[in-house]
Amino acid sequence: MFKVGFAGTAKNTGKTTAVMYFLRQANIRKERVGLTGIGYDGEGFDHLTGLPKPRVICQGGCIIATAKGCLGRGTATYRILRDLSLYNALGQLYLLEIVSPGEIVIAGPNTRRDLQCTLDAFRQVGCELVLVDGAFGRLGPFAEVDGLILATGAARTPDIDSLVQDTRALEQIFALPVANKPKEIQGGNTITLFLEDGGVKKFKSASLLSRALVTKIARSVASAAVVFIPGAVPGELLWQLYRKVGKGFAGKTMVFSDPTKLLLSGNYKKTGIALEGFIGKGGRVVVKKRIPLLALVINPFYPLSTNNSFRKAFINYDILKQALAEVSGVPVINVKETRQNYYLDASRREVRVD
Amino acid sequence: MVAEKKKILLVPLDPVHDMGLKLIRKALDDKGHSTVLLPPGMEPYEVVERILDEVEIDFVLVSRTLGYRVGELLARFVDLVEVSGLRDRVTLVVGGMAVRPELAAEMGFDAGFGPGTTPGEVVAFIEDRPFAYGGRAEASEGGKRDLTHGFSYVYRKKEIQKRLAAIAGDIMGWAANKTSPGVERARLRFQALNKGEKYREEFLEEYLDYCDELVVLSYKRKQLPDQTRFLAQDELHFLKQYQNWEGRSKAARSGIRKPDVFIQYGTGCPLMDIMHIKVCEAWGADGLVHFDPSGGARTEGLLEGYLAHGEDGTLLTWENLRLIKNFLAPNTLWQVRAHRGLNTPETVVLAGELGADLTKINMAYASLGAGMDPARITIDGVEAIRWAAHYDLPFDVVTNEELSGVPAHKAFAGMLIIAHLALQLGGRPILQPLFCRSPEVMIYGQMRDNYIDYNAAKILALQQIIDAPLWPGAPIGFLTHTEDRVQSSLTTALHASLARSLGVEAISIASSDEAYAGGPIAAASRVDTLRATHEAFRFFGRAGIQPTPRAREWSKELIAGISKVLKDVANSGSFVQSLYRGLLGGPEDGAYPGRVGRDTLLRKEKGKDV
Repeated sequence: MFKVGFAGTAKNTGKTTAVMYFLRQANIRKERVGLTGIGYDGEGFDHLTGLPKPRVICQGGCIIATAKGCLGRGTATYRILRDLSLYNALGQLYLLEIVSPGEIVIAGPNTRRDLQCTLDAFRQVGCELVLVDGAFGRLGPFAEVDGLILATGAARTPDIDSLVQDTRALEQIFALPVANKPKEIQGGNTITLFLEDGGVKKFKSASLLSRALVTKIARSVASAAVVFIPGAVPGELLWQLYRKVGKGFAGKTMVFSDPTKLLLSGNYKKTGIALEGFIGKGGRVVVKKRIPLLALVINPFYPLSTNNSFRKAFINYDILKQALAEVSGVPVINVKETRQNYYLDASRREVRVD
Repeated sequence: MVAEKKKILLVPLDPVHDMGLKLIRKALDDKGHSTVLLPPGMEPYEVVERILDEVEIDFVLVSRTLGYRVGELLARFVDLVEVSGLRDRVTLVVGGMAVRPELAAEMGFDAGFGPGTTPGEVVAFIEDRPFAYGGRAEASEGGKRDLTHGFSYVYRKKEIQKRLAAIAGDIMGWAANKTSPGVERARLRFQALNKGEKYREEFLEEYLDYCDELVVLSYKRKQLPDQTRFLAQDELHFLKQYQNWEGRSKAARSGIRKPDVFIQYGTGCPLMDIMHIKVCEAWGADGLVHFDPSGGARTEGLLEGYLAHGEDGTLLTWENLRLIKNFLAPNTLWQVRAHRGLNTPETVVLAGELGADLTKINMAYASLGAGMDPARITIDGVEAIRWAAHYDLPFDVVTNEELSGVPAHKAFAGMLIIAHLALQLGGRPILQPLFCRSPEVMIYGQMRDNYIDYNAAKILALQQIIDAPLWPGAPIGFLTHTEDRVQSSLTTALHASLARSLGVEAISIASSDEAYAGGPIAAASRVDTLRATHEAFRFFGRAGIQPTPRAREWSKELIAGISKVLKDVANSGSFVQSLYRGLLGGPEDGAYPGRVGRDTLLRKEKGKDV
């Protein structure tokens, strides 16, 4: 089973539209497809901005994981396959099979552990492909997926140069190699320094939370062979660590859990600069689990704030696409405009063109 | 059972605002939970550090005023908790203006509390007790209220009781050997509903003998009256999405349970009614009145099917009522009125069989304000009261003949006669005085100075006569409304507050555009008056409104007037003739006995009684 997460660099970047595109392609290919989301999708308007949002439309046979509070809000008919014994803010989660096609509202598991249980349930009912819609810029639960499709565009920033720099940094983060040496695959639940003398120095936090913590870690790097940070790695603080350690990082290895941990703060550019710096000074940076970036979907729309309300605005799509394609190694797709049939290939685990 | 004590971290993830959390903290502390309130303005990572530092935090309650990009900030906080390995240890809750459960789900929180949340609801969530979002928990405690509970129906004016007993005795004697097509249809309907679908052919054969041609054609040829149509399957299917919609209430009763606030619906279309009902429930309506069309009340027999029509009032059919009933929230009181037409007893049977909570019956009003022949409606009304007693269905005795010009003392005399008759037949009547600027006061000036004294006088008079429930209507503040929705909402709220101050059990309110809509009223205008009413309740609380001494004087005058009318009716020896002769309101008041159903009474045959 191929588990694909749809994350956004910001809200309103077009995650759900991309999910709908790849869902349609899977339907055309008659795959048994599962669909869930870590947020709330499918109603006609945004609960925060009041702007229209894409509907989630499912064909018969599609398997859905959603909350009790979403049942009956759509037009599709369904049968309940099982109660997942999981909960979110809208109630208990159920696994459904769509009987007659129509709209559906999805609010699925909201934690990594719950997503794992939900994905197991999809597997048990024979899904070949599962699409997991994201929410805002949330990435935490996506440690469970096999690949990510990232939606970006003007809703993150209407400045195209800035989007290009973001994309370049994303490429860097997703290209990090997988840890394969014995000293790199050690680990734990919190930040750990594996010292050159064989000793271990553990910190209380899993994430790089503050400048104070950065300073403490920096003081010990000189005696460390491997620095393992399992939790969140905000770009700004990673850059601070690079500034403090500098040349002292030569010959040492920095290990992160997976690429999503480097994306959490949203400051991709600073992360990219810091990574370049570590590697440039002779350090090695690896991830324990690689989650490949499968494609970038781009969206020129952004909500423009005006006098306590929002209205639709757009940037130049052609310039945006060309600029991002130049720096990206994966397909850059505007799912609303493309004439090619991109689809998720479950056996090859990549986005392909028909 | 004592709730397990929890440890809660309260986080104002906001530059300044933490008032809501302070209130919640006090409620949690009062229940013995352990709380830590962080200062406002901390960064998400600092909060995560605190979660790491504190021992065994069970809940993190985050408050934040939302704006664009704040959603991202809160979502990132959730992510940070997740990747720091803490997500499975703590339950994350978000609260603040603009927060909804849907938004909480989208941001990854386990629960979300928006405007109108009471600290008690948050405590209930923490303690894993049942609760509802936004105020309904408080309103729904104990379930539906029985408006007649605790009333003895003991008379405080014995002379009035004596006269009422004489008049009721006359009515029972006069009605003893009479029946009507309406009475017979109710009997057949009851039998049919209790025998099932197999009985349908047999039922229709006899039922249609008692119906007008228009109804016969609809059953036999599916030919509906003008502007009437069956609802399409896709329209009915469309409703499914509202089946589980709970909405959120802004009810602000502040611990005071009464009066229950009723609205009336009847757009002509059951689907639109359901939309209105869900809106009204969401904004704190306690009860709903099914408003049927006047044309239907003048037709012998009820149509069948899911029907909509292009007129005011929604057609009374078994299917329409059942559809609407299926969408009511569990604690919503539902009244199906039966008070004023040729189908009065049959409507009570439908209401009773469908599990309605209340109905509405008054033969005096039906004669003087709704066009019914006094003899026919008296027979039908007596039967309707019997059916109401059979189903143990309380009903209000409405006095809207005042709107035709009948002075209050005459309308009240009629109301008391029907209420007394109901008590004799085992019913549970609720008195419904008009609470508005009636033609009487426009002519005689009782509201020249204020709207308080005369309305108060009416309530005081009835309270001095009998210990019975009071439900002013219908609706309150009628004829004080204008095209201005703000003015209409305010006047409704003030009348509601006066009614509350006088200790009544329920009130019926209009929408802010009810008198001037020129067509179906707008759902938003219902919200206007519900919000205004609840805000006024919140404002006055247990503080009352003090009428001037004039209210007492007028109440005495009203009691004397009622007594005099009852004496005249009793002396006349015939309630029905009193209606024809205008003793309970006549041409000099602007009221004329109606003619609908004249000469339709039948002689009762043995074995056909209830």
